Amino acid sequence: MRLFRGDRFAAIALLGIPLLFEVVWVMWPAIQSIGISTLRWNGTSDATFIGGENFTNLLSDPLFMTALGNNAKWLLVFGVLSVLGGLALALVLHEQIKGWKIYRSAFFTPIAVSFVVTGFIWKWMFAPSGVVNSGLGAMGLEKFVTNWLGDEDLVLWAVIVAAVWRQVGYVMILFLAALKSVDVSTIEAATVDGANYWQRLRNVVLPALAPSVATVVAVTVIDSMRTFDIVWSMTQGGPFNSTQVLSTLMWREAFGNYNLGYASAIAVVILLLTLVFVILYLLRAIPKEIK
Amino acid sequence: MSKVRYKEKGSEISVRNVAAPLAVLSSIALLAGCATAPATVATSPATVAADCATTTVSIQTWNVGESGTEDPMISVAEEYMASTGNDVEVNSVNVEVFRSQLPTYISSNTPPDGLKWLAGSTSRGFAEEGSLLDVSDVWANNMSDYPAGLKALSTDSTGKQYFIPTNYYWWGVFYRPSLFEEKGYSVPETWEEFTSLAKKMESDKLTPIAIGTSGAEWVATAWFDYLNLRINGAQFHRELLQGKHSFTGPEVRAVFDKFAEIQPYFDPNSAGQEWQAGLQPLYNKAAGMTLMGGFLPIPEEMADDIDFFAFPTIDPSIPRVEEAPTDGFFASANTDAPECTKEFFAYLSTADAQLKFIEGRGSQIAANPSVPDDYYSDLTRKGRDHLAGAADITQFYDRDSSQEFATPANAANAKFIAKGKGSLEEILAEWQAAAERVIAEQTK
Repeated sequence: MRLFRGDRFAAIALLGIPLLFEVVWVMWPAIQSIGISTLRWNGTSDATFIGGENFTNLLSDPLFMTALGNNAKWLLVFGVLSVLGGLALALVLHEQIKGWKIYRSAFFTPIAVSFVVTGFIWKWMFAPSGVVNSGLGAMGLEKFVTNWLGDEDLVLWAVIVAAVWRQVGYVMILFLAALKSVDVSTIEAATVDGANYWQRLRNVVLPALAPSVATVVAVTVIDSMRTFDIVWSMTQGGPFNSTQVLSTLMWREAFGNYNLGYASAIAVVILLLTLVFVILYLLRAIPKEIK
Repeated sequence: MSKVRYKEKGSEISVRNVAAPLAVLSSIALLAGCATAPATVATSPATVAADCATTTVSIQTWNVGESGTEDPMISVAEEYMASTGNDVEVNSVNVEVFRSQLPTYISSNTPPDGLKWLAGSTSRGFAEEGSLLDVSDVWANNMSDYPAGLKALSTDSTGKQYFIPTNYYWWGVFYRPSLFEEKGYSVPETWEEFTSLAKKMESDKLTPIAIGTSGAEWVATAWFDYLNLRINGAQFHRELLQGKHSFTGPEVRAVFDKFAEIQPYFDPNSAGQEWQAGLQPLYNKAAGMTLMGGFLPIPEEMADDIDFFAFPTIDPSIPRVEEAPTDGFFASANTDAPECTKEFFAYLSTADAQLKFIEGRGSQIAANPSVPDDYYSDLTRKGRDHLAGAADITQFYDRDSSQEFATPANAANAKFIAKGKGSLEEILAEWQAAAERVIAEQTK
């Protein structure tokens, strides 16, 4: 496509201004924090350059390992549940079953609620005498009544349930939009050829959804790596650090303990882990868009 | 890194955690600012001619979002301005925002002139590195009648004062006298009486000890502090908190021997409920007692039915030490209005100003000893006498050590209350390892 003079000006303005903002408020601080991650610095006294020591300290820090493990569990369970759950909901609702509009709104509503508020809602539900326990009691399932947010073996899963509850509607909407664009004639052709529902799903619908699967997976992975608000509002990383994730640990080191160098090192780890997934995503997405 | 988290946080400001996103946002500036210009330790500021009528003294303070209470700092400043004609500007932010911004405030080239903060090691650290203004002359000229304990608390290792205490509160074991009366309980003074009371409460189908530690694990650390003070004394306690003893040593084990005797009597939901929720059973008379600071919210209808007793004696040879967390003010050494700031600080040290700080906040006791007795409620006066009769005063684990030394302690104590003796070895090992990591960093 040829660009005219006016177009070129518009392009420079439209791309340049966001780029400027990005550089000043995103890239520059990110680069700065890489610099800070090589310092021992409490925010007031002189900073000392210590090279990679913050990073080697991370490796021997059991809390960092807990947080890293929790991020991995989060990535897997939150990722799988919200992608599969969202896909299943989208497939069912796409069939326009009776009352589908109500269901769609119901599943989508949690998106309007921020992760922080989601956390507060679920914290209240998981409280010792909250809705979850009283519901279990009412159903005669007293043996499952437990201290959800106080049990270090359960609490992470309880927080993930809350996060999935919010994310699944978002994923559903992305898939519903993608399903709308699947060519109906291919499905009809498959039906005429005698393919049953599962065969149509596997061989026609899912391949057509592939591009949006990549988007959904990327979004979910990035959400998993940066998860902070819901953990903070439900547990603040507790009890006894059992729900500590990288971002809550970073927060605590930076703003509780004033270890800005160490906190920046954690931030750099999050950045690198996220970058891996973003790059994988871009490698997939960009060639398609160019086509 | 910044992109993924910070932007998201900024757009998700919400009810309680407004602190987190705001602080994260502003921290970008903080983080960005420093690598280019690592903060330098301030040299003593140029003395300016003290015309405080034309110099604005800026005060940075914080609030905990208590509903229905105006920041008392505002009326204190108004009163000061009206009576002196001097100019003061007050900025108040949420305490968590303040905590995260404190190093930036202090090291800034144009810092707020005065800052409200907590006495103890958290402030002393800044003083020892030379970041705080010397306010010894305010003490010498205006505060000679203050108790020696408060002066010691405000003095650095070179003998200079850096802190102006304004108010403090006490800790105790709170209970409802009407419940004790109904059940025929009497206030315990010794450990044996305390444990047998807990046992009796349990057989009366009460939760003996109310507690909630979710998001507030420091509540559990109050138990450790008191047990350690009662068993090993203040000297050892301070040394332990400065990292001079091991958390796996015999003294700390002795603390946990006693801790284990009462662990079964804590509310089993401790780790799953917040501290305020943990108090509900006490209010409802479903629980018998709780160890808490004087800030414990007292529902109006039970204003006359909440009392406290001193944490019981364990070893009669150890004098009674109490926790009295103290708030007050210091100034950045970088302030460009040191004289006018000190003039305002002198006003803050008066009984008049401090009455405003404690007004409507039942649990707070003025640092100035000349505040009249009848100003306080019966409970607060009892709290004040409870502290006045103590052999020594501590601040609380985090204020006597540091935030980073306290976080592993809080986790360890909350875990012990929730899980008990069976987890002790694991808890102490984790605690000691975490403490060693902090000490290793601090001594570098």
